Amino acid sequence: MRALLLLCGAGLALVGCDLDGRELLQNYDPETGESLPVTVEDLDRVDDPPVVCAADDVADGRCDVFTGGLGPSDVGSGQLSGATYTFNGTGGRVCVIVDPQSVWRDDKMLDDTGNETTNPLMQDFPYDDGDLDMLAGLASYYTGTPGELMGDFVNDFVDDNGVARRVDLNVCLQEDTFGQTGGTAGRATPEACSFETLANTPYRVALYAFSVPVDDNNLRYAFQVREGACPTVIDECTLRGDRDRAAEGALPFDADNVEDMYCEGFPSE
Amino acid sequence: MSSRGLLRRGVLPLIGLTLLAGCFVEDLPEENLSGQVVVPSSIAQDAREIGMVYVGIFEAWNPEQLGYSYPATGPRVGDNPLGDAQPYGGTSVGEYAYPCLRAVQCEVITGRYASIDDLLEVNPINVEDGDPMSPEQFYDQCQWYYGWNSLAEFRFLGEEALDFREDESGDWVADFQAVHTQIPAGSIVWGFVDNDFTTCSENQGSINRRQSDDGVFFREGTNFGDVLNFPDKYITEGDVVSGQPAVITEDKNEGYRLVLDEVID
Repeated sequence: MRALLLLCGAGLALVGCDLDGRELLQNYDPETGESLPVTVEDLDRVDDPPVVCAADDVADGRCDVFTGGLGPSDVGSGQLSGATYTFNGTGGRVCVIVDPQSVWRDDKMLDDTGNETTNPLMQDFPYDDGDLDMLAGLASYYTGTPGELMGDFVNDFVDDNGVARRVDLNVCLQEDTFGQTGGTAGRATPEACSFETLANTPYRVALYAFSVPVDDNNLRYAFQVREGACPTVIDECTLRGDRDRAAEGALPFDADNVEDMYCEGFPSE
Repeated sequence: MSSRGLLRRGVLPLIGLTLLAGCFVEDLPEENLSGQVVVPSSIAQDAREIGMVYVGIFEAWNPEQLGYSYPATGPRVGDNPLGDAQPYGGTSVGEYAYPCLRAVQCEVITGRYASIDDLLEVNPINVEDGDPMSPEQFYDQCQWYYGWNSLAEFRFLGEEALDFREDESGDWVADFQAVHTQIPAGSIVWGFVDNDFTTCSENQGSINRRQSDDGVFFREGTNFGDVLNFPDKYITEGDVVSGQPAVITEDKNEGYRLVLDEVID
């Protein structure tokens, strides 16, 4: 009897082992049961790479938006998916903006005055959202290899007292909610920063996949580099294209995607 | 195997191994550094007037960069107005304490007040009808906010908790200890007094612990996280810095004396 009880107890305890923790990882593909590889993209080598939008084009609102996609990061091994873009400094201030997929609150939209209001026809759907983080700096300080391995701008040195130190040379300084530098935006929310550049000196922007949409493991993003300071207001509609197309009939008024729904609201009669 | 046998052969070796784990020398470069900060009586006549004192251990000293005594900094990065002072470590004398009501939030630090009267004398508070708050009213407010039931529970009050004491020459002296810091020979100890509490962030710290009662959300306030990285952001007119740093010497991690005597104007 005692042995039977012990066996039953052991059996029950083993039930707890029949869980696959990989399902909790962002790079786990439930359809194949395999882990998706990290994707590191060199945007300088793609067919239609981003360009630095000239000040005149910024003023005329004629800047192109680059849209791309990234796979999930491998959190377990510490390998990040991401993309890098290298450009020559202009000798002036440069603004960098990235907007990860897709909309922070699908049940909101902008009204005619540009203020956010409730969209009564939509429910929030967070599973098509992801999060990208952004760093930038002199390309010579970048520790990764474009197209191969994501790095950062943290460099080692030995100080005058012989102590090994680290210095973060990321110039893309974003403020957190307390006004301190070092902040990053969260899910589906754009990030932006501007910094002074040296003329004809290579700078590199690094985009890191912090999280990818649960629904397809593919994080779309919109990206732009432009001369001058960043716009005073940067929101979901500053850059467009960081979304998936909705299935036909899935959205009210046959809208093409949730970003259109948010930025343009209901179509006028 | 009998239970005694199991104990002897299984558990005892395990206990032995556990005890041994505490005997490994990790050779970490970090040490604790201790000493005293001194605020001359010419700077503060009353220890209650001494603001938050920050003490840091830095690579070097550079009084030229800003025109007043300041640590050497790393390169200026991005839009930062100044380079990071990159402290090896540091500490403070006192800490921001939420004084039970928002009227004096970020204005009260521990180790300065012996009693409620002491605190209210330096930080007068008016109640709704315009009269000054009495010690009894302040006590009641703290009893409601924190649930304290005796003065011994007031973490920012107490004769025994005072940081500064008067030395024989009338100056104010307080002990400090910076834990787990590197202290290579040649590095410096430098510090400053934030007299107007610009280092306190009202939007950080613990969440209002009476939120469920009154529905009001706020934070109790605490110091910013980069005070020793970018002290210049917080040093304003009337603050005091150490005019000369204390230089770290080989194999000495205690007994340092830092005089805070250069008033910023």
